[in-house]
Amino acid sequence: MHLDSFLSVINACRFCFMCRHIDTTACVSYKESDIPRGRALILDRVRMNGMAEFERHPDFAATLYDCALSAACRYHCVSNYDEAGLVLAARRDLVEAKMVPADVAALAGKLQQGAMPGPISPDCPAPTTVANADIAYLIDGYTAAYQPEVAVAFLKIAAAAGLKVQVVRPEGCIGKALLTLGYQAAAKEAAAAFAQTVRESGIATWVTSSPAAYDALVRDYPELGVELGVKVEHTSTYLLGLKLPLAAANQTVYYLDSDFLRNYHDLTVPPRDLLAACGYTLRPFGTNPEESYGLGEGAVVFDLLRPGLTGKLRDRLVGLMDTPDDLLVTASPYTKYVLAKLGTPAVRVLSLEEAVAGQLAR
Amino acid sequence: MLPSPDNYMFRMIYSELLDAVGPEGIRVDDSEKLGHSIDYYWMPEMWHDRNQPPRTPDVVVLPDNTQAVAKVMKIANSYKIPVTPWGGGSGSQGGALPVYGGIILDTKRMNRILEIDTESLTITCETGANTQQLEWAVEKAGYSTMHFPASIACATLGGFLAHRGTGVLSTKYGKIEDMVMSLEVVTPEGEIINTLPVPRHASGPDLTQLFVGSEGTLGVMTKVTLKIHPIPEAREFHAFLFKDMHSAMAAGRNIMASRLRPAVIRLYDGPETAKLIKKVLGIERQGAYLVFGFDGDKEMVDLEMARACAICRQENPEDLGTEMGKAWWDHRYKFFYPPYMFQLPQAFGTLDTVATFANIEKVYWAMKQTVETNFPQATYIGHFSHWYEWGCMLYARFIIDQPPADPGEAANLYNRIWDPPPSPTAASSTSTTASASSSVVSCPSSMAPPSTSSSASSEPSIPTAS
Ligand SMILES: Cc1cc2nc3c(=O)[nH]c(=O)nc-3n(C[C@H](O)[C@H](O)[C@H](O)COP(=O)(O)OP(=O)(O)OC[C@H]3O[C@@H](n4cnc5c(N)ncnc54)[C@H](O)[C@@H]3O)c2cc1C
Ligand code: SF4
Repeated sequence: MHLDSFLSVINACRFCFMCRHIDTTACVSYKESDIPRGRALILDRVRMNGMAEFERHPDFAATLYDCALSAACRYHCVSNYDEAGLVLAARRDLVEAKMVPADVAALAGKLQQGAMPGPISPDCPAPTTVANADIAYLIDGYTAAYQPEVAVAFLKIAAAAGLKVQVVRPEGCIGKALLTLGYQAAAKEAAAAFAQTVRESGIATWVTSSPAAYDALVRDYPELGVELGVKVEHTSTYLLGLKLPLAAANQTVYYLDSDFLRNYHDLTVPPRDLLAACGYTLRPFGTNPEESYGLGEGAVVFDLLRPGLTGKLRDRLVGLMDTPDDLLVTASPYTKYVLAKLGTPAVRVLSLEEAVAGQLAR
Repeated sequence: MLPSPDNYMFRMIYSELLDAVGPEGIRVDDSEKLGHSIDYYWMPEMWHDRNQPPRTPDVVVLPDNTQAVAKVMKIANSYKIPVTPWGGGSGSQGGALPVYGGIILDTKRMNRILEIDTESLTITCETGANTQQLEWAVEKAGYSTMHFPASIACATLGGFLAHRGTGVLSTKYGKIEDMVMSLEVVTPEGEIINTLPVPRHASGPDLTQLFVGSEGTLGVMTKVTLKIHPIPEAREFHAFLFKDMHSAMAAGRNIMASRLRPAVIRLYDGPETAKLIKKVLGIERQGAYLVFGFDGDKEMVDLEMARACAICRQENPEDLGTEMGKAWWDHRYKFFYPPYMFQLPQAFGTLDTVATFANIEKVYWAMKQTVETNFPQATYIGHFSHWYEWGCMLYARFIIDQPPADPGEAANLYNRIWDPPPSPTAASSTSTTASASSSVVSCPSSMAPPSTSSSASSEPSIPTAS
């Protein structure tokens, strides 16, 4: 079993409560089984008694898919035990044992057939082929379907900086969503196919607005043994490196850390520096800098898999706003989508790219 | 215990509970039952580790308001079903375990802050609030609960009230029983009562204090008003290494006797200084580590700090300075994360004991002798963590690195350590324990639970050094 390689995590987490207060799912479900301890207890039983334990207790598997994979607990843990990695390993075991819950299998099936989170928006910039492009800009599924304004804003900034950009908009999962659902082999296949596109482009620098896509290319692909041979950057670090003609903003904003950027890549400073460089005044969101405000971002397609939990996460976030008029900024198109398009009340939210594009000197 | 799920009575009771708490508030899935079958008590942890079947509740309910709690209690009462309140499950003595099956009443959905009174400096909130989340919210409002237990992130306010919880800064700000103003409680019959709004009265017994420390046996605490405090201008720490625990204790005692008001004093015995402090702070020395801190206005803090340091220096300790004091504060929770905390396969237990200054060292040595003499395989370590004008609390632990693999044997050994010495020989050889323990003012109720003592009495008598 893949979870055997996470024995030290099981042993550490199974009787530990020290991160319960920031487990993303547990903060809204209040379930003991939704904290790393609860999941480790389940998986310890599986380790001791084999995969049949999932048959005996059908809700065990569903519980593992309730995990929002924000990795806030791992980031908080003084020893950084990889509680998120443990869940991913167990999901992989479930897939390989053909014991995955039906709703998960159905979603994975759709992703394997090339389905996106939603139909591509007519406003989404189309793919381009540009000779001697400076960079390739990768548009993820959530941006393409629901947040085309993120890509539009990025291209506006790039144009202001005089960059030649080739737009790449893959038709389907590049591996990330499948991997988080536990479909390692399918993810590897999708990754290999996309890596070929990357290599064939001949473009040395790839930029994406999606922290999930960034994480896929930077962390997952090497782990899957898929070589890219290019430099990959998230827009937050990339834009910070550009000399942009900016007019100082006179606005206060709350930056919501991305799960992938903060908890997987420790990138908390660049997005803030970027906003500060645009003259925004930053206020800390919520009551603490530790919990996840990604709304299921770490689980990539959490809104599709667990709409109920996603709604509760959104409600919690809205409840933590200082005033209903607060302006939020997120580095994640997924998070922006959940905030802007799923549920009420309406929330004022911008992507990093929009926040920067809005300050370009006219 | 509820009837089994294939019995129509189970369905009937289930639907009544469902009606009381709503669909979000009732769970019978195995994941949740497993999660509620183990708290922070070593026994269920070991039981799980040895792959034994867990003792699970029949139903977990999560009411989200007081009325719903009252309904659950009434239903449970009419069917005679045991109800065990559960906050965070972080209690180390098994208090929240569903030992009789039945209903676990998990309070975590009752986590609302109802009022922050900035004039009186109080907060009223529901008791299922996670204490770290609560502290964060209070800090955002510009105040602090000053309740900083090591399990701040793990536990609920109700759990601390039910267990007479203690935070790191208790020496100045008090234990939870000193912080509480008033309570709302649902009695076992489902009545809702509110204790008097303020904790000082001209006459009569104090109902609030009756419920504090009642470990879920007298009712479910649903709401509480607590004191809050302004965030101090300065908070400073200083650490010393004494040649032995005795001289460090003298220094700590003299600080308290001088009526300075430290927020915290902590003294680690030799073995804990060598083991834990080394692991967490990297100090590799023999001796007893003493750290203390003051907070408040900067000027006052500087003055009190200087006085306290002068008192310590009378014992000729090594001065570790403010840096090693601050490092302790910064890492104060680190001790409790794996791998710094004891963990299975080790067996370990914590024996919180409070005594006067005249007796506290005797208690320490008596316990140490009792544990190490009767159980040579055990190590005994301790620190003194909550200091009062008249004494302090010994937070002692026994640790066995390799307890028996057989779960029954492991449980028996563990219980024997908690039990009083079983034979007259042992009693006379540990007379210090007997005399010192008469001054013990609090110890966990499960130090000698009836069931464990009776099972232990059937065990062969424990060899003692006479
Ligand atoms: C790592 C770690 C460090 C710790 N450090 C400290 C420390 O520094 N100071 C300290 O005091 N303790 C400490 N503890 C012990 C534990 O956190 C406390 O005992 C805490 O009070 C338990 O709270 P809980 O919400 O987890 O309660 P639970 O474990 O769920 O319950 C404890 C008891 O209270 C009852 N109860 C819970 N809620 C209610 C309610 N609303 N009404 C009535 N009864 C109720 C339960 O039935 C049970 O008997 C530590 C524990 C851990 C795991
Ligand atoms: S991730 Fe760290 S803090 Fe969280 S349960 Fe595991 S060991 Fe404890």
